[in-house]
Amino acid sequence: MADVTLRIPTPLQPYAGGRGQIALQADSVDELLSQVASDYPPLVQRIRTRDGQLRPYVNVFVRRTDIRQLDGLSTSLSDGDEVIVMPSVAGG
Amino acid sequence: MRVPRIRLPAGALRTIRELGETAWPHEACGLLEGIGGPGVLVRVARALPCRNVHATPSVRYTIDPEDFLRAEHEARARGLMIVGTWHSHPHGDARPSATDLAEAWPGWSYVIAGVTNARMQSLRCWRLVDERFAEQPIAGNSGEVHSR
Repeated sequence: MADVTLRIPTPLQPYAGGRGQIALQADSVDELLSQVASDYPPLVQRIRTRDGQLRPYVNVFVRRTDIRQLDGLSTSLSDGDEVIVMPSVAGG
Repeated sequence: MRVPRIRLPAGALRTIRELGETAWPHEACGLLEGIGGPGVLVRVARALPCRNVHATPSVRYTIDPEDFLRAEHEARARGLMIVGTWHSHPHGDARPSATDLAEAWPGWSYVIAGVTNARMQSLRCWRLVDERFAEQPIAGNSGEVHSR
């Protein structure tokens, strides 16, 4: 499996025990999120819907590209990849 | 819970004022780069402009996720972090709306500029405390914005 890093921006850090990044081994974004869910369920609840889809107002970037422009949650990961979860910043 | 103060440098205030007035009657928005943490003074280094990509920019804002990503990378490269966000209310009220509350993240500072007729009238900052907004005092700022 690939050695990758999940980067967590400040708005989501309270749901990840205050951590800004987590080192993991995973071959796809889906696999990475499943691993994170076991340690930080509140974090992944804010990223995925109950049926496992990406929430509409969350963007996940791999190699600085939105995974919606790649293979979605099936996007494959390679050694050294950085996965960044960017929540929506919005209001009125 | 006591809300820690936030320090906004003159350059950040100028950016928020200029972009808030220029974007009127639409909402301007951006991010706050600096340092902070639970219970400590939040020190803003700069207010970053971002694109408002919401389809109804007169009453809503959504920061372009690409701008957010870029800001995160830049802040990290500078040894800083994104500590909050700012946006303008073109109707002149610097208090958070119900939409602001629904979309807010804990631990972030929310600076709001009240702009009326393309002139910033007030600037206030807010932070979530127990799922409600509490005002975060701006160091050295009374909330009223004086004319230039």
